[in-house]
Amino acid sequence: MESQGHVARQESDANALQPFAVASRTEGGWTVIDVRGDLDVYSSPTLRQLILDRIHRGDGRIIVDLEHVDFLDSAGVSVMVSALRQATNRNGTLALVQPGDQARRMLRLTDLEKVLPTFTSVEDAVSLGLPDMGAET
Amino acid sequence: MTEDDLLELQIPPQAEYVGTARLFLAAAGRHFELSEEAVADVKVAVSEVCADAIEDLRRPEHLRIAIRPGVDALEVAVSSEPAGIEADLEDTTPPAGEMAPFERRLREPLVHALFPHADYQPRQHRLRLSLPWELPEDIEGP
Repeated sequence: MESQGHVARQESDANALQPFAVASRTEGGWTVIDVRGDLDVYSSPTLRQLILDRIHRGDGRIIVDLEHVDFLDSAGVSVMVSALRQATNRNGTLALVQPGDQARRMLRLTDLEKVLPTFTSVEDAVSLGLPDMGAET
Repeated sequence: MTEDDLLELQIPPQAEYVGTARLFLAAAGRHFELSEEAVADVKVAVSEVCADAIEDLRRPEHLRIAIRPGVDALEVAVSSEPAGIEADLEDTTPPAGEMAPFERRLREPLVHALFPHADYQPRQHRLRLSLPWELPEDIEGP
């Protein structure tokens, strides 16, 4: 990093922190996507691709576990919206688990909390289940 | 106010550096004793401006985030410098009827929902907002 007075230039990947990780598993007939880190313009394409891959291979019931997501912006919100749309178009659905305070605030401000079911745990989401929502346009 | 009061970070307009900008904002928030909620909201607003620049076909040379304490508020500004003279001449307005990706359409209402008085210019990758100083709980305002 090069300093010019109080201007810090960021020119090396070594100093760019991106603690993002995503993994998927199956639980009770649902595909659970575990997300870690910040969900933003950098990381959201990875999550989007993973969810869409799962939906296209026939996994229509998707849970996105946001417990370890520290930050969510419009890029992350957009992933949820497009994933929900894709899932419902294939008679599936999408639910969120444990969004933190900041993520919940984003979901509320974008009115997404009204359309995305949210659960306090993966077990709740799986056991309470959700009806398939039917194909929509 | 002195020059020492200014905190400034300059990053390339690349997605992998937006996290660094948020780290800078978190550090600045601690320095100026902002609430966690205020820092979280500023992180969103700044990340949105950075995303505007990153997705612009004419990416600026760099993005600059500046934080300066004022008398009544902490001033946060994001600005960019165009990549070259062509950047000033090129109009990046999408063709009429072309739908912007959903997140791009979300950005402006989201930033204004967080900061109703923010001066947000998405196409210029510019943001200015003020965070009024929070009085300690045991001190009453005038």
